[in-house]
Amino acid sequence: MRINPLPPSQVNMHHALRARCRMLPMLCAAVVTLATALCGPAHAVLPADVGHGPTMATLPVPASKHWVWVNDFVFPHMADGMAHLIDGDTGRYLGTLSTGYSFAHILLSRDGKIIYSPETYFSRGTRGKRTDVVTLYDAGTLAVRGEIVVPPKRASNMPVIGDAVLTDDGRFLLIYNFTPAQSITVVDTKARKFVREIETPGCALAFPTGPRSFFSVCGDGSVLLVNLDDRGGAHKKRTQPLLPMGSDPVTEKPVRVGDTWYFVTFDGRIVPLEAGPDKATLGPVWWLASPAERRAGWRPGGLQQLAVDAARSRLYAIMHRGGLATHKDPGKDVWVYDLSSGRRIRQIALKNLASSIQLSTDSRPLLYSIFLDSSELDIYDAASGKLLRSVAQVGTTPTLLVTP
Amino acid sequence: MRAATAIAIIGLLTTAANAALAYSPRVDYQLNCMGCHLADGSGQAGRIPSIRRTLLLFSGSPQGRNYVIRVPGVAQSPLSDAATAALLNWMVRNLSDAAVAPNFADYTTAEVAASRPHPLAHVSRARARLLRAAAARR
Amino acid sequence: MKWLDALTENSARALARRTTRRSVLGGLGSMLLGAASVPLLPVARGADLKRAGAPPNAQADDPSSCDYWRHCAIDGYLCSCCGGSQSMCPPGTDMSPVTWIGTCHNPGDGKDYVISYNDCCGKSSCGRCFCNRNEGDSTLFQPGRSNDYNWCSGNAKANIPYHCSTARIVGAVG
Ligand code: HEC
Repeated sequence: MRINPLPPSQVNMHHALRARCRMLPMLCAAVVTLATALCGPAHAVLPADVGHGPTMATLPVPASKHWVWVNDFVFPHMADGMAHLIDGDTGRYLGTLSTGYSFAHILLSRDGKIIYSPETYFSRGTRGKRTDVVTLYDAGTLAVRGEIVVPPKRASNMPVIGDAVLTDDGRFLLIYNFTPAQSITVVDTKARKFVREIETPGCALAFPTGPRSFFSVCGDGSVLLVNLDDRGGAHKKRTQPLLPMGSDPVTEKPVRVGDTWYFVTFDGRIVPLEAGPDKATLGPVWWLASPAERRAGWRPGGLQQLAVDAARSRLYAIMHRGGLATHKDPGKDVWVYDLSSGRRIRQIALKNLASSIQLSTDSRPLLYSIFLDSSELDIYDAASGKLLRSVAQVGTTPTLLVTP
Repeated sequence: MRAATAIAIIGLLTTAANAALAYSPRVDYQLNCMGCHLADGSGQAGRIPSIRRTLLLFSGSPQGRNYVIRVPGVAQSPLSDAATAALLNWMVRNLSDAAVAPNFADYTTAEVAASRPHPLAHVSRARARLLRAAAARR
Repeated sequence: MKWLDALTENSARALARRTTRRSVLGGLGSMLLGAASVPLLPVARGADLKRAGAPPNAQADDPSSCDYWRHCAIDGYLCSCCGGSQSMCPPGTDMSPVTWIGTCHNPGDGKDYVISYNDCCGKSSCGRCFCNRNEGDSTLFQPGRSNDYNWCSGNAKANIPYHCSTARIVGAVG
């Protein structure tokens, strides 16, 4: 499963030993000498790399469930978006995608072979004609396999998962547009072509609800339910206002378990929206924090502020103590809830501030956490909250974490 | 007892909130519309229509008035129905290229309340239909 | 019942937001880092509340400070630190006419002002004096009230990269 493009060689052993030697110089000097002596003359000359073996590392397909994509919109140099792939089990940095201007996030095909990335380019780097594309990358080589040109209208905003989604059957890729008129671009991943644009007046982002359906959330709290037919044609239906939009509105950062999208409000109410192809209803609303905790200022915050473990029905939320208008602030605590009862079952004190969290989707989930203004990815055992490892230098302004 | 107090408090808060939000139509326009439509209503060619040309035109027919109240910017603003009617009347008179007839029928609160809960599903289609109808009338 | 609780809590909170937000945020704003420090990003204000009750900051007068009164709902690099000013774009960049609008209180004259947060566009990010304050900010679901859209994109003239943000006075509220 794991890759190791360099054979474990004498060189590596010496490196490893020397690294340790910073701590115990005397003893180590002796060990290194001994190791060199024992290995003998056969290894005295390093084998040539040139002319031997592959020149590029490749990745196994499908990806390990313990890998994580760290999407990075590189705020100080927005024309140069990136996605970084990390192995959560070892902390190894596995590879990069270079994803253009105002990058939001990548999407993984259902079979794990293709990575889709909605991207924007200017013909002269930071100026010239704008072109928007969905780039297709090979999951094994991370090389470009193709691209689909789409209308140059992709919304440019603080990245959220609803900026681009796949329908549950994996067939259609949906991209949110903002010009500021609002619409959704439909891309057929099978035919690899742009199909059409669906007007979503007053309604933003896309959240899948089934094999061929999704909803957008409208400014008055109503939900625009959209069904796609086989050719990407759209049938729309708008509900009554359902989601709170007033002084304590739902954020645009919900998470999904089955038919339910769990929204959270600025003040920390969980608002479950059960949504199918042609119906949406609200479930019982509950608070993340007790009245006393709320008085003490506890509330959710961050960018990717919620994560779910669908198999165990667990919700994870980044919490901080802050006043009004701190709905984007990061937190150093993750609170864990049983979704069926709304009961809090654990509080995890993080090592570092977090603006994004994500879980792996296997039976022994890892919890990833990262902060937009740092580039250290922390990896925890999700069940115990124990910190397993930290990976330094992952990107510039990491935004959304995507797990296979 | 507790319920009664709660209701009284809600009443109080609602009044306070409405008072706090009662700005002049000019400020309501600045706060809720100007970001997209610009100070003079001229918008952005190809993206945001110029209200200077269309608002008065559309306001001359029942279908047009219904459309104006149902476009997302109007239907989904935080303004009350009364404030929305006042805003539209101010816009007609202050952001139109053509002169407004003295007998122009003002938007009313009831009219806004009737159309507003029915947001448009296809703005561009509805708009194209209105423009065709207006051209035919001429 | 749960709903009622939620609603009353909410209304009380809403009132508090309207009446006391300035004093609360005056303090919070001072946590933002200015030119002298590491740039902070949109959610980067930190969970540290120690300074929330701090007295109003003298930097409320300084347009290159995140605490500057006009910046109460800004999200981006301050043009005042990038060769422009709070009302002008830096040389060679285009001002996006389309933007989002909020109100800020000026402690200097005690008045509330309508502020237009026009972005300057056409060069890569300035990278200086990042500032994000969210007074009155809503979500992407309410575009006219969200500072999370990049307004350099949504318009014909300046459909080009984001550089920095201004905070221009539209007029006094009233
Ligand atoms: C986020 C940007 C935005 C905001 C804020 C906004 N609008 Fe609009 N408005 C548009 C766009 C874009 C259209 C074109 C129709 C469409 O595609 O939705 C439009 C269309 C209109 C029209 C129809 C004009 C025509 O020629 O078809 C009217 C009238 C209007 N808006 C009024 C308002 C008013 C009044 C407000 C404030 C209460 C407002 N808008 C706020 C973006 C906005």
